[in-house]
Amino acid sequence: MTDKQPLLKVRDLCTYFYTEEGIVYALDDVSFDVARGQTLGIVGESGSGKSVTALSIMRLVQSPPGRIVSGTVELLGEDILKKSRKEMKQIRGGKIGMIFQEPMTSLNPVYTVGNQIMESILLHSDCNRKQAKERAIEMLRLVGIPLPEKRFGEYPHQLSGGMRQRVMIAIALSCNPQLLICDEPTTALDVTIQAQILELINDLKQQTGASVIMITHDLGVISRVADEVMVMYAGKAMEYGAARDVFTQPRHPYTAALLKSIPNLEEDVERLHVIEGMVPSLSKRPQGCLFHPRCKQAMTVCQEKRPALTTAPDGRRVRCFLHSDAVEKEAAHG
Amino acid sequence: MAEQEVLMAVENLNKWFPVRKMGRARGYVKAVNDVSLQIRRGETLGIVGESGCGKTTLGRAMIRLTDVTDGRVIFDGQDISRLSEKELRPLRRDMQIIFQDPYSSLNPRMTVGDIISEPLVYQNMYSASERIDRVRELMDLCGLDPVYIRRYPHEFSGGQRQRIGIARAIAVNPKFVLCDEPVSALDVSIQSQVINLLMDLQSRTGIAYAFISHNLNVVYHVSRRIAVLYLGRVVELAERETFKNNRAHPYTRALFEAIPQVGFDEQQKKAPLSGDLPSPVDLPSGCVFHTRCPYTQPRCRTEVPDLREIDPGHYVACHLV
Ligand SMILES: Nc1ncnc2c1ncn2[C@@H]1O[C@H](COP(=O)(O)OP(=O)(O)OP(=O)(O)O)[C@@H](O)[C@H]1O
Ligand SMILES: Nc1ncnc2c1ncn2[C@@H]1O[C@H](COP(=O)(O)OP(=O)(O)OP(=O)(O)O)[C@@H](O)[C@H]1O
Ligand code: SF4
Ligand SMILES: [Mg+2]
Ligand SMILES: [Mg+2]
Repeated sequence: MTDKQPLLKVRDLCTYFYTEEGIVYALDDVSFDVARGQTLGIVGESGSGKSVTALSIMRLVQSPPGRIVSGTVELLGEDILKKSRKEMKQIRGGKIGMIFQEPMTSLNPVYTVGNQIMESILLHSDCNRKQAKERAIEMLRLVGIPLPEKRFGEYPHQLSGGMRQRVMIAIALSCNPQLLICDEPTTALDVTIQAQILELINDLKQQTGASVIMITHDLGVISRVADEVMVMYAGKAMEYGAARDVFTQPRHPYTAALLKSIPNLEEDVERLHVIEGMVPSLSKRPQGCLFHPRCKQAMTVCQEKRPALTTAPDGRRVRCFLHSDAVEKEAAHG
Repeated sequence: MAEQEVLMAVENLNKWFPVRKMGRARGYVKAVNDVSLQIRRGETLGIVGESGCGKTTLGRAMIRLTDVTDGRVIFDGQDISRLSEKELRPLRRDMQIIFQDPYSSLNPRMTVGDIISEPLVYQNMYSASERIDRVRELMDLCGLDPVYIRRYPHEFSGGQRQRIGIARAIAVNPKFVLCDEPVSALDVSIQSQVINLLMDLQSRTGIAYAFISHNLNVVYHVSRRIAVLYLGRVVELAERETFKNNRAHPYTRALFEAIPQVGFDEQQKKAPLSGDLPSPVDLPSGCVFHTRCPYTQPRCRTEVPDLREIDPGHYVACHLV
């Protein structure tokens, strides 16, 4: 959303899963940019397509049944969807680092943490083993692990959840990535530990100038770390803009309803706002706007046509007919 | 607190689990330590704290789903801490539980009707035909269409399954329901439906809840009073409003600051606490929080602070408060 070339430019990305129950439209026509040194938050409920977004960028979508059907993912102007498998292997863990929700499943239980960091460094740089070891210990120190020389030789199960997530961050950052994708990095952690990890990611971002994609279902986490936010619902971006603006002045009825439905300490309400109904199945999506069966402001057109993501003069993007007349229309997909 | 107002009283409760290695006890997981608190009729007591601090264990001890190591649990005037399962059976009617996981807590081979009427059968309440009427009434009350009475749990969404669990819990008109993370597994847009339902049921029937959650915003919303647990100890207990403006314990303050709030004003960007939670097997000496507390004094390492009433109804366990 800046004039300068963004680090990552995703356009019209569609990733579908071809299952027995039909086609699951996990990601449908999603576009966004990540500017250099910025954090994009992707927020949405379970099944809204957040992880599939991350996996699509990394080209790690399980296939079959999944397939990136269309779209482009440009990293510094080059479409990485066109790269060979071998090139992708270099990019993953090299230019793009990734941190997953459950560090226990993404760390290999039979290797020491030090070994796993070293391996990543050896794969992505010209270091020899001695240099790689030094760098691994330095990384452990950087992510705030006490006694890094000792921890180097320990196995993942010997560490607490917070420490394991620090190790994952150390691995992801060991090759100086330009983009760090964090998929629910703190969801399995306690809040006081979560605060430590978020602070760490923020500090490291500042030190290295990397950009971050922060994926979470927790609007509070996004509030704390993101410059921009994309709100997803049923595989589509519903609203996209500066995080502060989206949270203080939501425009899409889904964003607004969601914000009102979560309790917070500042605004004490008697009764919580309720979003009636439930999230639609992605293989049997409703006609028209995907949110219309639950939308209090739905109009006739909402039942018939799919709204496009349109950009307002202030740069905010909203996928809703309530916000589409007065603004310049983008090509209507989907 | 007047005697007759108190429904549930926990007195100096301890619950320790033996840690066995090679069949021999090698110490204990000290899950609940010297906890005393009370729950009044019709009120919600929120119980918050981080993973492993003993919330579930405390809750299960209250309704005697587990035996207690030491101390007393007094329910409705009766000491239930040493009762056998057989002696507890008639009391079970008044103490129910709603579980966190709406997927695994419902028997997949039972219909919704059978699930909801199970406690009625167990308590021998109503005739068979009256039971069906009662189930329909409960489904209606919990926002489930009674036409689905013959369906199976897998045919429902997470939010609907949680409603089934709630209908089952309130079927026998209990006085007390332990809600153990009742909305944590639900989608954000579904959570408020379930929270409102629980609160509506309370204002209609006067049930008391112990509401366990690690989500402070949710607990703050539903509770009248809140107990904050750290490593099995109550470190602060007060009316909900106190937690908005007058949190006193250093851990409580850090905990509330650590919760990211939506909206940006005064957002804390610095982590309020360093270090990990200590193991509940080797509890720190003195104040259990002293290893992470930013204000630790020498006496904090040696002396356990009592839970003292610093203002009416506001209890804090800290030497410096
Ligand atoms: N391997 C797969 N096969 C079939 N469908 C899949 C597969 N992986 C993901 N999906 C579907 O794609 C949709 C989006 O899933 P995704 O994992 O991106 O959700 P999410 O937003 O990350 O949710 P959560 O918050 O639960 O992690 C879901 O409907 C999911 O069922
Ligand atoms: N049956 C058991 N045997 C041994 N240890 C147990 C048992 N149940 C609980 N514990 C231990 O007791 C401590 C308290 O556990 P508890 O489940 O009460 O915590 P909690 O506050 O409910 O945590 P969470 O938020 O993760 O649900 C933990 O260290 C746990 O590992
Ligand atoms: S397009 Fe219509 S149904 Fe969809 S969010 Fe906007 S008003 Fe509601
Ligand atoms: Mg996910
Ligand atoms: Mg628990």
